[in-house]
Amino acid sequence: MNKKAQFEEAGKSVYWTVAAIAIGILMIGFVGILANYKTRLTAVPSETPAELIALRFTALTACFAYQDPDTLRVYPSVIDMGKLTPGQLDQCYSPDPEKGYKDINYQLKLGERVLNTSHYYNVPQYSVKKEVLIKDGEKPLYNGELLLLVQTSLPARPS
Amino acid sequence: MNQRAMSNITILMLFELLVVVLIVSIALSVSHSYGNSNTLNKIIYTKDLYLMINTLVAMPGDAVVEFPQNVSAFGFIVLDGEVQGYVAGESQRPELKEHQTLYLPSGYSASGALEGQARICVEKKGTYILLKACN
Repeated sequence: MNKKAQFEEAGKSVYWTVAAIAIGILMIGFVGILANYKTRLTAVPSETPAELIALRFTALTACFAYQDPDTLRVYPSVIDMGKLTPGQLDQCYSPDPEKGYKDINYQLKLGERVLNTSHYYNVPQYSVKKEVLIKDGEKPLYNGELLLLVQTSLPARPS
Repeated sequence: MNQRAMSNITILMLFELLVVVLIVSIALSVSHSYGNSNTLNKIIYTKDLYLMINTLVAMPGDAVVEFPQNVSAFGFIVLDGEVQGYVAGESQRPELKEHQTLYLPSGYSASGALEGQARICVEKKGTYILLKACN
């Protein structure tokens, strides 16, 4: 092989190496753009699931809703203060013990009581207020405001 | 330029053309699969079903809700901890399934598996959520 032919061969190699790298980057970028496009098309605002999940806090006897012991009737939006405990919150909504930080977590505030779900790390994105009636033992019902601080999916567990 | 050089250049150009055609066809095929309404609807419907179940859980009393779309092209599986959606016929390909994690209150359970049904319903009976075909 003469020197000119050697030079041409080397030139081709360089050309195809550069082309392969450029095409590779282009393909990765293209896949990234498409994946991002799909995510945006199918995205649901995090407020929607957060609000829908939060409905259970005030509506279910398995959560904090008051249930008349005689008639067994459940009163949605009437909070039984006797039930407002961490244990009851775990029964009501308990994200995955390992990867629960990727799910929606809440801090519930009612009067002096503050309850956190298992992976609430004080990174609230927004809050939801619910007007409720409070049933506290034998006291007559009174008005209250249940404040829910909502922490949406976190990319990693805070240290 | 001699004939051998000309032939080399032609081969190189053909090869380049082949690479370009290959890349364009791959790009088009990937775009088509992403843009396919089944792929997107599978994700959207699974999320909708997940939201429906969460809403139904919080409803006092019993209820039946019909999913407001024709979903005959899809299959859904509802378990206690998960809602799965897939394109009908792809039930054996877990990597193509859409998953939504479901956290039900203690004592509540959910189940149901349907594929190729046009009308599907979610029924709440007491503390039990059932995915079923509508009557």
